[in-house]
Amino acid sequence: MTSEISNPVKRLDFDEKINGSIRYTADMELPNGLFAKTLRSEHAYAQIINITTPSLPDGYFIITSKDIPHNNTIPVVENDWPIFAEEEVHYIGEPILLIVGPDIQMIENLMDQTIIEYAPFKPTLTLKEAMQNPPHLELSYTKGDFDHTTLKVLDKFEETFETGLQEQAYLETQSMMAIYEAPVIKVYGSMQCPYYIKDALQNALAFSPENIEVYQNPTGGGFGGKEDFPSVLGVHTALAAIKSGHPVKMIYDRSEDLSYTTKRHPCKIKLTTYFDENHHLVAREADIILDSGAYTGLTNVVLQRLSFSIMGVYNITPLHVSARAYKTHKPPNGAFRGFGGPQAFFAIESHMNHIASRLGVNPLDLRNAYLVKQGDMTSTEGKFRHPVKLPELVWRMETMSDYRNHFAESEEYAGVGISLFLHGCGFTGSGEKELLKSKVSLAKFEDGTVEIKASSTEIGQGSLTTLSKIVAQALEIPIDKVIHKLPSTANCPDSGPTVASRTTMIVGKILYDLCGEVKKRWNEPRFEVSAMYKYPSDLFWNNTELKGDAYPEYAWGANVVRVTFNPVTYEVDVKDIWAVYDIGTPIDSKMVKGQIDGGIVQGLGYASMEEMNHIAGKVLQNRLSTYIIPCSADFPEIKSATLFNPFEEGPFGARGLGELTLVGIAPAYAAAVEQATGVKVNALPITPERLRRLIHEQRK
Amino acid sequence: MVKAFYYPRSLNDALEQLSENEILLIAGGTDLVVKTIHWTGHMDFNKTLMPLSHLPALRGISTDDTSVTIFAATSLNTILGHPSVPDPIKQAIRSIGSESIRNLGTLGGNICNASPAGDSLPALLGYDAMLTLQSVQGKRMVKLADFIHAPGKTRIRPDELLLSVTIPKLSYDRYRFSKIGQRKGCAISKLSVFGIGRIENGLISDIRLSYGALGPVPIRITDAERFMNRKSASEVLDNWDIIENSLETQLKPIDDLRSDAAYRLEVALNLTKEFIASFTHC
Ligand SMILES: Cc1cc2nc3c(=O)[nH]c(=O)nc-3n(C[C@H](O)[C@H](O)[C@H](O)COP(=O)(O)OP(=O)(O)OC[C@H]3O[C@@H](n4cnc5c(N)ncnc54)[C@H](O)[C@@H]3O)c2cc1C
Repeated sequence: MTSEISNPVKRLDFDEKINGSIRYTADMELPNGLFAKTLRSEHAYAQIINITTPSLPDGYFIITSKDIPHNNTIPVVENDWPIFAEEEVHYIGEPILLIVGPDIQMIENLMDQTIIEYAPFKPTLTLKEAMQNPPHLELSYTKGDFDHTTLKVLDKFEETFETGLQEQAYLETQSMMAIYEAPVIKVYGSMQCPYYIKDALQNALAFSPENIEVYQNPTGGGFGGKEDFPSVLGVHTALAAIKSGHPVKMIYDRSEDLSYTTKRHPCKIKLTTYFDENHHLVAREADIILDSGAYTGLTNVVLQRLSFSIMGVYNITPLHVSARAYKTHKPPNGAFRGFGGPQAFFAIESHMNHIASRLGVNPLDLRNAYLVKQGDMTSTEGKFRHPVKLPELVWRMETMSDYRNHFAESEEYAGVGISLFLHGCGFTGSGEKELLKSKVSLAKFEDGTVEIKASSTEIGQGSLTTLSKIVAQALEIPIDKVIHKLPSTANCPDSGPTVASRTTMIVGKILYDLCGEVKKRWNEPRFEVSAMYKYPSDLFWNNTELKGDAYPEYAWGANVVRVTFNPVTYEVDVKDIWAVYDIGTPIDSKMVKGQIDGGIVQGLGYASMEEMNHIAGKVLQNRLSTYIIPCSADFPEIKSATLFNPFEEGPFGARGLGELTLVGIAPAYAAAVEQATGVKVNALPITPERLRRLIHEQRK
Repeated sequence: MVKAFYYPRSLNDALEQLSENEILLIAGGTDLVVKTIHWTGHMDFNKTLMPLSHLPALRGISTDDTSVTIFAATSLNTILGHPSVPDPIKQAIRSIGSESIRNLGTLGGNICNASPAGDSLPALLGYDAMLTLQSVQGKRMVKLADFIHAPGKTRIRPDELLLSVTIPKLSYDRYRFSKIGQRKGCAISKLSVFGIGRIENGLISDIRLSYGALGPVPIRITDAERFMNRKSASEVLDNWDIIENSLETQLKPIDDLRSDAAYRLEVALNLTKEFIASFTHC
């Protein structure tokens, strides 16, 4: 069954992106504009003793922390992230100052002539070193009645999983420009969250809100990498524009972007499962450790989502979770599609496979025995309030992929793996209710057109089109009567950041509801109406106890991957990929397919090849010729489907989708590799080199 | 910044420039541009840049009874489209970059760039390719095996350019080029193995084994070849430790961002063994 709204339409940004006429920030002319370049720390941890700057030619400027009128911080969740290092540097690549001027060659020369003297300290570079000090973030929660003394006598199985950094590798690097027209500062660029940048500007400049305007330019991908980080460029360019009196543009080159912007958090997860005498899984414990990098950034929210996701899709109660994050002298880690989910699901799903193999049962049978149902408790003792169609999801997956036959009759050097997973849609905890309070507007004009005003950004995922589709369908007008432009804080209310798989489900829903009002007043020639997100009244959240509904709703998925293994080269070849999701009603089947294919390939990159390491605090893979992401030749066509299970609180029944498609594929891949090779894999990425080492170790 | 740019009208014009000025040659630019481009979009050359790809005397492929000669600025895709170029060479060239890279990139560029991971090199070494270098003083021939002596370093003189590559025609019964990259397309080799040989009366004959991306330069292992010739594949496989020793001491695999030495060596050995085993089925 499908809904009419799922029929694909031509994307609003299709032509300009296909014919190349779209202009990204780097393509834009800035009359009288200057370029800005960041001078960065060469030490992982040091005191700045002295800065010697060259004498500047006319028209050149240096911007430092002294030029910040108000707070020298990037406000994310905690205010520990400086705009410019002042007395100390905390990672290699930390911004110290900007050199600004008309000629980029000259800027480079001036950079070379700027001398920073440091007194280095001993840096903390690895999690192991960091763990000798207390964590900077800590949380724990218990679901059910977790009693150590009764559990102590039980049989248990404990193992540890490790995952590394992942780079978002958006096509367009970080880029921003600022224009100061006193008293108004205007910032334009590549971004996911215009209002985050506005907050950052207000915090740094102490301008009154009406004098700060942030505009999204066409954005070539974000994947979380343009959630928090663009605030840095936003403030940098604004400070430069204010000081110089010229428009200022800042474009990161690929190596700068790879080396110093936020990545997916490296993670270590210890899981312990307790068994009763009948080999039932009766309790579980998780211990989670994250590497934050030098500053907190979004780490506490990632830590929460990771911790709340660690129950997987299984009702194994009691569950006790403790999680900690440590600072290291490396670039701050941040948001990346999945936001802790990929780490959690790699661990929990691999752990389920290892348990199945210990117990000698089929991995799917083991899973089926513990699936959560509607009405069950979530990890944080909230409730799965809506129909949970996991049995149907599993059945669809089984028939589509023939998983059981592949598993039972796997030939030598072939393997198949399955994963089941969920993703909480929307902000964690009571974020939607207390932090965001999302607001949207609809303006109706004389000619019968309607304009959407929301700060949600188009980052390639198609939100301009999906939101327009929702409004067109709700108003029963053709989609070409809906106007939807890239947002700005000057023209659009704050509908929240474009993150957390929330745009379609939450922003789409406010718009959908608001359409009712527009319809009623349709005969009025011209008007504008606004509405705020109505947090479902039966949800509750206690942020000190971490109890309640951590998310307004959940989306579900199942993946199966089939591989062959080449024992001569240790290479893995992916033969088949199947994916089934419950995302409620797909708002556009083609864009949904785009999210599925892209998320899976990005997740397989994480699983199999993407590797980033630091030595002495310096990133090694700082180019796309050494940080390897997949290409179209690497994986076969993905066979995917969605269940029919409209979500009654979503627009036309839609749930969140964007991140779900990435979170579950790594464990399915790992399981397939394990069957094909006969070794246990507890760490990502599973490169041929790692496989070779594991095979030699485990065959000993 | 490009100091100066000189667009030669003919090969002789180019040679004269080379004899008089400090020149940096550019063919397809697919190595050079990537290496020298700055965040500013500028390229830092301290010499005069001179393009070659448009010169007819440096393009094309000619053949005679015993050999094929590929002129240096011939694009990789042109080579793939030419009927006289031996299949084993084509297989290696086909593994380079992507369609667009092979349209721009040239064989001369792949050789003169002298990367340990230059994918045409193991096959050309296996074929005993001869290079013709030219300057105003005339031509000289150099064996490819003697030409590249360190990563990125060749024995070309500043007044010379690479004119052409001559590949003898070989008869063969078995050949294989195995390239291992970090992904399936547009990948830089982390190791490659090229093998070619004949079977005479059931015995291995005139076998050539060469390796790329393992050590500082692509290398042919002639003592292993000599050991194998006039033996059956099974006899070679029975004495595999001798081959292993010889390869281990000569390949000198490295640890780097793409792979590690242990992986490189073991997989190179595995691939070699697999290639030798293919001589048993005849
Ligand atoms: C995305 C990408 C993928 C790639 N993948 C591969 C791959 O898979 N395998 C591989 O081997 N390479 C690969 N390369 C590298 C490159 O494409 C090849 O080495 C190509 O053959 C170089 O040829 P070119 O004509 O572009 O060389 P150029 O960049 O023009 O020149 C390379 C060097 O050779 C010198 N030179 C060129 N012609 C002459 C001449 N006639 N006489 C003297 N000196 C000369 C130049 O001065 C320069 O130092 C890749 C490059 C890119 C950008």
